[in-house]
Amino acid sequence: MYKKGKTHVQVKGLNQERTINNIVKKIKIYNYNRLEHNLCEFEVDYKNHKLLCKMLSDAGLEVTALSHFGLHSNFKKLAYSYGIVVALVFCSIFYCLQYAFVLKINVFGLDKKTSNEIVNFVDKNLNSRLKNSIDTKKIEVKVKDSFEEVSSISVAIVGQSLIININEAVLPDEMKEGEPIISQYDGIITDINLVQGTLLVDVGDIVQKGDILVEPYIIDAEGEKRVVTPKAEIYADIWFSGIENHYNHYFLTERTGRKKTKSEIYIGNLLLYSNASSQPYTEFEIEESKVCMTKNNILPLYRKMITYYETSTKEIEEDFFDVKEQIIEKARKKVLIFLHKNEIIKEENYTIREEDGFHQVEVVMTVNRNIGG
Amino acid sequence: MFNFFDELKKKSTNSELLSNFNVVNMSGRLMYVEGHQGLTVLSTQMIAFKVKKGRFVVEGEELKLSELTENTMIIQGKIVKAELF
Repeated sequence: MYKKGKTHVQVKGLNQERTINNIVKKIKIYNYNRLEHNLCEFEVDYKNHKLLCKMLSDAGLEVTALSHFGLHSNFKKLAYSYGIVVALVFCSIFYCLQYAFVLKINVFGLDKKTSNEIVNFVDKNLNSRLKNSIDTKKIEVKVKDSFEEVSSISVAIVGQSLIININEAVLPDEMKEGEPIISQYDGIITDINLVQGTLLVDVGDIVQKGDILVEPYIIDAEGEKRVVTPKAEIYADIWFSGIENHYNHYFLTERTGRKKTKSEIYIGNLLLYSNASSQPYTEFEIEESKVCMTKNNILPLYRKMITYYETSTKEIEEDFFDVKEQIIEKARKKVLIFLHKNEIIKEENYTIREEDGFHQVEVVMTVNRNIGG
Repeated sequence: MFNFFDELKKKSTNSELLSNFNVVNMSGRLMYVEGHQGLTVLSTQMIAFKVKKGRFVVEGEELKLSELTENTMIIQGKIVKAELF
């Protein structure tokens, strides 16, 4: 693009040479081209186009086309595009006006919940969103006074955001608000060692899972309630039980070890191929697995594997007293699952319930454990 | 300032050269003219102009004036013939 603007002119008329000779005395002509004997086109500097038009008019030549190009003329064209100019002016004014306001409040250094609380607090305490009327020092003091979590704070206006940087206060455990200590098991309390909080139970009390043992507050010397993190070791005898059933007469089904496998190929849910024959065994168990053979949905091919395991059923007659120890041991193992490693079993007993051809063994173990959580 | 034509004129003893016109033809595609005194014919086949004590005619094809001032011009196009009458 030409830095200086140029004007392209097309001129119609006779005896153009004389006029051109007159014109070049005052104006420089570029790219003169004779199109026809009475038609020519050429370019002049944009600044001279009015003078050129006057000279052509005086000489009786007709200007058939006139166009401007180059940076200068483009700027001038823009200046006469009133719509764009008004829009630009309007946008500039709007930008300048809105730039004087704070649009966003950002809090850094705290978790989302507390940050939102601080944003709401600051938003309520701002008299105006106008930057000039915001006193950052005042905001710092107000936030620090209102939020215990805030150790140090700096407030700054950056662009159109109010940036609040906060260092979180690390409170000692004793000063933290806490949840009450809740019993994790059913049991009888045997020993209590309270460190902090208000105790709601005593030695010998029977507690259930979910009962509150220690409340997270204390009453100070002035009779005021102070919130604290409860701390206590509360030991209780708790018990666990396991049940094992035994039938004197029952049927036992076992796999014989023989098996047969059958494959089926599906496209979607449509069966394409199967090598299945009739059921190979009279008594059997089935295991099935379906695997997608392709890694896309264009051709959804699946292979289904069906395995038949031959089984046999035996009728078992077994006297409870012949296997009593094994049944008790099985019930015992069911209880031991709930115990911690190397935990001392305080007491252990079992009960046997007997009905017609049926025995139920229940093993109960008692341990002493800290139920304070 | 160095002037190509002035330097050439210094080499010559003919004083008439000093007050005449100058023409440079470059490869038959571009012609620079200095000291013309007005156009007489302007077309794509012929450009003629007055010079001191005569008339200069340039013939060719697709001729056009890429620049024209009161006493200089640059002619572009296929220049076939240049004659002084």
